[in-house]
Amino acid sequence: MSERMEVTVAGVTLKNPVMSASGTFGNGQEYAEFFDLAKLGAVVTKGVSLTPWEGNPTPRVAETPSGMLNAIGLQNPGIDVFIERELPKLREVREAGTRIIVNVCGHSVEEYVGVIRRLADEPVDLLEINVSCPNVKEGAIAFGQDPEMLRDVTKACKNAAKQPVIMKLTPNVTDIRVLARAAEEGGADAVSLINTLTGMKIDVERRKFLLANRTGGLSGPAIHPVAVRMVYEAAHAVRIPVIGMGGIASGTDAIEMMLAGAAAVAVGTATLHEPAAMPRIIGEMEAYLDRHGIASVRELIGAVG
Amino acid sequence: MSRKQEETARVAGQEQLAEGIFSLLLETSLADSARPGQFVNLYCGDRSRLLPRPISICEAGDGRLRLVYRTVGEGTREFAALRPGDEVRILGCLGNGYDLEAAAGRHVVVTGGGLGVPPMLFTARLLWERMERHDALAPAGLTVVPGYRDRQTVFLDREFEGYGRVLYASDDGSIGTKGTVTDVIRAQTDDAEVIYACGPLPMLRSLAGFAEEKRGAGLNITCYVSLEERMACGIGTCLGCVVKTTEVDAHSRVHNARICTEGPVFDSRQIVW
Ligand SMILES: Cc1cc2nc3c(=O)[nH]c(=O)nc-3n(C[C@H](O)[C@H](O)[C@H](O)COP(=O)(O)OP(=O)(O)OC[C@H]3O[C@@H](n4cnc5c(N)ncnc54)[C@H](O)[C@@H]3O)c2cc1C
Ligand SMILES: Cc1cc2nc3c(=O)[nH]c(=O)nc-3n(C[C@H](O)[C@H](O)[C@H](O)COP(=O)(O)O)c2cc1C
Ligand code: FES
Repeated sequence: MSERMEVTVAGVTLKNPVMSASGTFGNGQEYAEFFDLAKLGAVVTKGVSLTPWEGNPTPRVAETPSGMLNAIGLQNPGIDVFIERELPKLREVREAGTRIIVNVCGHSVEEYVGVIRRLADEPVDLLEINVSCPNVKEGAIAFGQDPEMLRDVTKACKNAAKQPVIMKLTPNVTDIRVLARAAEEGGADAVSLINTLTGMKIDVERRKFLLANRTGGLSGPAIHPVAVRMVYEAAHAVRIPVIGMGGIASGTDAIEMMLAGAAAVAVGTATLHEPAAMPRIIGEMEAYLDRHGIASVRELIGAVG
Repeated sequence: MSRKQEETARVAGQEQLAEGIFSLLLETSLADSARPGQFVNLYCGDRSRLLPRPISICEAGDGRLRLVYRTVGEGTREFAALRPGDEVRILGCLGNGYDLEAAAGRHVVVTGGGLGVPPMLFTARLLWERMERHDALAPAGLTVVPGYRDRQTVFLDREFEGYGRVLYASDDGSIGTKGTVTDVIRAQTDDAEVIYACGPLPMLRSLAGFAEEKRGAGLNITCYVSLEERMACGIGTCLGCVVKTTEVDAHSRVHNARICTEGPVFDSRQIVW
């Protein structure tokens, strides 16, 4: 792949702007059966916590028009198993120049910091901190919903981290610009957005919630316009790079996100629907550059007007 | 294990078997690696319906997969409108399938209830063929127990004829014996050593209980159950489809196994009922 697809995020160069969205790609191995993972700009892993998390009861997923709700509850084996079993499997992909971004979750600042410390000397290029997790100390409100809390958790993560830190913002806030600025003030090297929008679905015939957890996060094409708007707002509120995601299913969607101000993009739900969605999207982005005679994909970042 | 693949399958035929029950024949390279108890994900042509529709493999061979399904919502209704020559996106073959080696030299019961009947056709056929060939892995005996609600909801029944002893069960007694498949197995097969089952949860729970009871009485009996859950990926990445297990699971080590990957077939002792 030529240099024209390269982008730089938080000082790290990606061979192209496309990465997996956390939680929709496992830790990559399952998809290696469908395409060469080294085609990706980066692999973003499933959220990992300090200890194993069981997640929520089932049903955990429900379909909605052009989207889905999920309430997985961040089931994962914890950082020890992750380092021992999962990270080594990504070594080859990393050696081929695809960046490894580890998504981190926690119920307290100490838990985030604990995971980050364990990753200090591991083959990981960037950390993505999922601040949609409930803060158990502060009455389970998400870290990412309060600017003060977000600034503090960002600072703590930055202090503990050897790798650059991306704060992954939740869209379930009144003004995303305030939260993006709080992350920047806390020292974040980049922000990524959007995580899922909280939703609910009721089975009208049975008069029951479809998800055992009652609420779940909405993702997929249904949220794309909301994501584009929020990426645009965040990109204009901060100087650090923005990674855009939410409903990207085509090269056009990815370009749209970059025009709104994203320096790179992540693809989630589309992969669940079509395992090889990401290499297709990369190809479509290249075709767009050809068609418009654009020398570098970097020219597209924020180029709407 | 064979590779999973996503491809566009061609519809070779479709027929209606009963009210709301359809049998779809697909030409696909996935057919040749299919094992009984595995399933495929079918995707809707309508892109506003993103999630896969998991459907069990009812039969496989000669480059064709047969899927038998009930129309319950928009997705399956879309499939019911497929005609020969149409195309449908498919991902497979998924899941572990039944451990048929466990049948070697033992008395086997193959049982399905309602929409759990289809995958038992492929299972029963392979076991029967082993018996006919006097294969080393052949069961010592084969009883098939399809269960239905009533005569109106019967499908595939005739196709089991010829695969050993066939005993029907129905809730109202309008076909076969009145009662559940467990009732029939309890009353009419005192020699079951391996049970392969697929069907609604209450049926599987009762079979698991039956096997437990027999083990309590000193019998060596294994009951394999095929489970269902809502799925998003079908290949083990989203963790949407888990079931509570008695042992820690291989993936997250938290007693939550993925039905799409570690399952859909489990030894009934692995499940927290
Ligand atoms: C491993 C497995 C094997 C299956 N095998 C068969 C089979 O051989 N024949 C058959 O008729 N049905 C089978 N099912 C059930 C089948 O997947 C659903 O009936 C089907 O997905 C319904 O789709 P719909 O769009 O018509 O219904 P809708 O209710 O409109 O679907 C909405 C969403 O819910 C999901 N969903 C609805 N019901 C179920 C269900 N029971 N299990 C899982 N997801 C569901 C759909 O996939 C879709 O994402 C199987 C399910 C699983 C998990
Ligand atoms: C099944 C599923 C699991 C997810 N798990 C995580 C997770 O572990 N950590 C995280 O930060 N985001 C998680 N997300 C959110 C996605 O990474 C992404 O932000 C969101 O789905 C929007 O992108 P999309 O519309 O392309 O899917 C998950 C999303 C889905 C659908
Ligand atoms: S459906 Fe995604 S893990 Fe099973």
